[in-house]
Amino acid sequence: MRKLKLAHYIFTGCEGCSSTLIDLLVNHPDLLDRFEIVSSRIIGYTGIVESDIALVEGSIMTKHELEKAKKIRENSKLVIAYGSCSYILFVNNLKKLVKDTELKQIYKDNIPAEPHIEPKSLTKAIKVDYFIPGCPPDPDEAYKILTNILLGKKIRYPDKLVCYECRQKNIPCLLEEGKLCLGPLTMMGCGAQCPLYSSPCWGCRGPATEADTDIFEKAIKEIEIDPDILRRKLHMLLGDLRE
Amino acid sequence: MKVEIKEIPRIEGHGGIEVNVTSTGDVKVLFKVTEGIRLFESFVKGTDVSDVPMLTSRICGLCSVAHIIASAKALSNALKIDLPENITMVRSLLLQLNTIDSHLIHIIFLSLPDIVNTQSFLEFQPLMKQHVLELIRMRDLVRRIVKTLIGNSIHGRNVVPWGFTWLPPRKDIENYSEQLEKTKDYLKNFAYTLSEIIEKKGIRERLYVDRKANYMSLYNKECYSLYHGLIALNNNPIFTENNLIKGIKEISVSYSTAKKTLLSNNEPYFVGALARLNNNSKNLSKEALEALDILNLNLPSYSPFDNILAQYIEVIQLLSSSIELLERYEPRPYSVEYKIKDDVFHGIGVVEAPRGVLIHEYTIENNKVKYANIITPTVQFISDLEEYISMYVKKVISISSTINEDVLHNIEAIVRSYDPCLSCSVHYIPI
Repeated sequence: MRKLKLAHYIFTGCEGCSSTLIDLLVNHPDLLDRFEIVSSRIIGYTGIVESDIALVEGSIMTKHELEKAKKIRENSKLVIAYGSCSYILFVNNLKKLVKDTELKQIYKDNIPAEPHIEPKSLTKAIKVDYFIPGCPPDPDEAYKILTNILLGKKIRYPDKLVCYECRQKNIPCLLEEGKLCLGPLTMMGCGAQCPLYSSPCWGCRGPATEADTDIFEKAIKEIEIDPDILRRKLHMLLGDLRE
Repeated sequence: MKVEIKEIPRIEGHGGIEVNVTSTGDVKVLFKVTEGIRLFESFVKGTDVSDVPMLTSRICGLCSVAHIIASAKALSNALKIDLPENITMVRSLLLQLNTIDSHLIHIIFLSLPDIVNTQSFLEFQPLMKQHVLELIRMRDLVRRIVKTLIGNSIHGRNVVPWGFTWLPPRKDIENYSEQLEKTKDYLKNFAYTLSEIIEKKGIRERLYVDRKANYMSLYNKECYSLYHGLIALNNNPIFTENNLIKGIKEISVSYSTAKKTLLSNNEPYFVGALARLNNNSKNLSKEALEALDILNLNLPSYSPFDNILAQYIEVIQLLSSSIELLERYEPRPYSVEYKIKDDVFHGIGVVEAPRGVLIHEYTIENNKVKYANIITPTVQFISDLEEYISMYVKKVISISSTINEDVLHNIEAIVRSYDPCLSCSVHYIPI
């Protein structure tokens, strides 16, 4: 069987996704029998080349990156947004809350060589075929999606909320403890990783289809929450997905 | 004459190098970071103190733990939270494990191809591939320990300024020290292999420039620590966490989205594994000293290539100390009581990230961040990197007067030996 050509591209982000790709290959070495890696800066091959699948991490933050994203689309049969910066912007969406005056103050006379643009997720910048959510994405979920693509199976994303996983695992509800937990808005699939460690969900997998922020805000009225902090958290969770 | 490498492969982040040689033989080197700007210090403003570690973690996926711990340390310093020893021990352990993880990635994927002289680890001979596999398994083990402790190997879930939201019971980590112990022999054996290849391929000499330079790292009298201590410059512990920022200055340049720092006397300095070894050689374990000998590393060293060897020696050093900390692991109490305070607080936290000195500084008002300043290791060594490459190019053109393909490869290898982390470097620093 012909090996599929896999390209890995990185836009602006923390590159934790790259790190999980190494985990993916270590835990599932069979992937190297099915895929030939044709581009990846981490591995040592740079440049945009023709591929069957492009795994793309990071957000589009400069003009140059936007051009590159378009070129990737032209050269790849399938494009997968890998990780939440690529899928919905997530943390990088906070850049939109930084005021212009503050930006000017930062650069003063030294305007950086790379013109920055309003941040875009890959999903908004070009047509994306699939996505692998999470910050960081789960290598096992990535494996499942990649093998399903290989087998020509339909990719299904979980449609339930993180709350569902908390209930399955008998994790005490953090909202009931008065903590701002975004579990009731977030797509499940992470195993309720944060609540499992008594830490509120940040919604890093993006909103579930049924997520309704209005209902959520009404429901949490009893908890004393700083409206500005709530706004920032929802801004990350929703990213630019519903824009 | 002007030569440019637009995108350097096998580094963390997007960056290139421009070398300008004037007719009089002067050399100017520009390290251009083209990564998009991410403005983390602005992102953090307005954040509740409990969320800062998890947010700053997103600055870098390779050293997320270092950002988590540095911010938690700065905030516990600011809020004057007195942490019990078992909590600071877990913080130290996390830094050590993160450093082993990051070093192994750098050695295996980013630097070993330079040493062996291939473009990628995928082109290694079968025997070397076996070695790589062994080291990757080791990294995988280390990452599993981190995941057990903080919920994920990247962007840990449970760190707050007053400790942890929860820590796993002892039984969850019990088997790990034994598993780590088993890797020790292998590491020693591979040090011999590494030493032989380096000798055979002659890369150390190829990249060598005779020079002296400034180096900075944490310094601790008692043990090799990435968390506790004063900050030493050239073996002199002259800075405290609070006055370090006054000892360095930041400059911004138009050719790069990253800024850079210099000492207050305008001289560059380097940070990272080699700086740590230079400053803390007295606290090295028996196994680490043995590896120092096998790899022929004489301290203090000023050669960037030796930074790769220093990373390898640190893997050995930190493995032993991690085993010790795992054996002393005590998950309770995982936090101290913290009551929200409405006053204004200011605090600085300095830790050793894998790539060197990492500084987080915050002002807190009404339990939210009002001001943040983060100075990453890469920002600190960019000036030294530019200076070293310009010295290297001067040496080359004094012999052959041209910059050929091989020289360009060597320049790339020098950049990689510093192990720059460009995601970290473009989080932006306010003037």
